[in-house]
Amino acid sequence: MAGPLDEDIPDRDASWSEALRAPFDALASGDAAALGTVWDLASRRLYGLALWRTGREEDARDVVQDVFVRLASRRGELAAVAQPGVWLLAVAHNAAVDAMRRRARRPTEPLECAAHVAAPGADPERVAAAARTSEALSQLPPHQREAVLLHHVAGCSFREIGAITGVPAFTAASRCRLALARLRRLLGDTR
Amino acid sequence: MNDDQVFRGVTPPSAPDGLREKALAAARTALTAPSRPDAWARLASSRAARLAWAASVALLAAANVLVPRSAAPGPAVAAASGKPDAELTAIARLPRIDEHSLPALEGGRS
Repeated sequence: MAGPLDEDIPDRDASWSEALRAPFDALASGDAAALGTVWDLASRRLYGLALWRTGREEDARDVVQDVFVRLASRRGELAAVAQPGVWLLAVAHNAAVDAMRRRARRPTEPLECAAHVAAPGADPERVAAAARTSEALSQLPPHQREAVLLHHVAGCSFREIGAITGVPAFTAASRCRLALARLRRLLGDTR
Repeated sequence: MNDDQVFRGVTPPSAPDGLREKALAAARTALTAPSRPDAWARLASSRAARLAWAASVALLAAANVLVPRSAAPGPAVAAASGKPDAELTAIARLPRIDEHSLPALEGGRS
């Protein structure tokens, strides 16, 4: 899926998931060096998903680390994975949900707002736009933020988003549409 | 404002410095660790668990053979007496569907 972030995310293309096939096969045979290849291909999407879903940088770091531990622990099933990218994002989604449940059991901790997007470079106008977009994104429910990221940043189809998040494709599309409509309202006055 | 304008010029942040080394080190540790066997594999590999399993099956079989069955199941509920209680009969009697009752307009008797 082509989109506005193609120029900003060099590794964003439709074949990134298929590119994970070789390192998945290598990991299944116990090749630890393939972990680095998986990181290079997927870390940005995984961290973005974790950050947008949990809303906290600390939780996002834990989620990404958890994803790679789960990846190594479940190496026996990697060779049979049909869509490595979708499988990896689904693991990240589950880890993020687990992290949010753990956080819910610690209600005394203050909730800090993460910077969901950043502006490449030091252009003041772009930096200000990134701050406004982050503020708007922070007002969305986590599942809507996640749907937007998976569709517009990770390039997933609605069917794939449904498989990742465990909802029907129609629900995934609805979440994305509602999120974008709200973002447009929130940003409409300033951008 | 279309979708392109919503995210124009911004991008999700990259993973922070140091996370790559930390995550990959944890993954390598998990990769070299022996995979944890599931419950059935642990049961099959444990002599004590196999003995306990066999003993419980033998005990169940012996109990099935040795414990006598009762001749006839007891009544589930107490048998009702042959003569219905008069008060209960009066309560259960519905005047509106009782073909022997008189209409209320003709003296209110039922």
